[in-house]
Amino acid sequence: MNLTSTADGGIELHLEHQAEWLMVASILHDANRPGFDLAAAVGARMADTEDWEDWSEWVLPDLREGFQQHLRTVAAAIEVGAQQGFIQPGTVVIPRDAFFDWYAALNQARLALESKYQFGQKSRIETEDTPTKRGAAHFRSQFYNFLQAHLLDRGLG
Amino acid sequence: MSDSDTQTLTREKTALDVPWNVVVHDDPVNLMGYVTWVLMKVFGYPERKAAQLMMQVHTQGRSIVWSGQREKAEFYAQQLQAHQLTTSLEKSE
Repeated sequence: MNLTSTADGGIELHLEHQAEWLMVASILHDANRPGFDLAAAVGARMADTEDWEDWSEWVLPDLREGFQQHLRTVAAAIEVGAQQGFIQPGTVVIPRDAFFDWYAALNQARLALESKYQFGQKSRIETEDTPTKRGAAHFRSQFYNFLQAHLLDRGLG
Repeated sequence: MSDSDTQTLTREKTALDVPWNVVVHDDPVNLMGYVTWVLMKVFGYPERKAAQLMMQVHTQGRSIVWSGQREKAEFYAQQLQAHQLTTSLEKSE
């Protein structure tokens, strides 16, 4: 996988193999992990207050819709890039004005993985034997982190 | 208006005047540069102040990033949560 810049300040992800396509597509899979409600998670510290019921009713739906919008942006870009199928080399374009949506989608994926596996701030996860689900999830999380750092360096707008 | 009405209004006004704190909590995912960027974007803080608050979140686990009127505090909390920062509201002591 290579990252290059576009003339108008965007980023292109050049994907060579099916495994790389799967890695990028995993952003959506991880972010939509069943049972993980990001809107509730970011407000969890308010859950024991008397205002939580109103917050749940009035604020959480808007948050959920905003989070889904970020994922829709990423899904559309992957779909366009994968028109030739996930087994051929291709390019996913991240326009500059979509940097924030991408960053946010990657963050959702990392928060969802963190909630399941509790990696903490470790940069390396020891795996006892052959690759485990947890080890693979940590690898994806590190990949998402790498893309996020790249987007942040370029400026989120 | 009776005396009891006046007392009730006074108590309500006092309750409304109590400042509310917007608190950001640490988490192991959000990048420090991102938290700084969000605080600059949502509150219009200069980078130096935003970075100081971010470091407080990172080192102390939480930081009061804004205090004031409740309605505004709720608005800011929603904005911060929309940026995926764990945020809560509390009455100022």
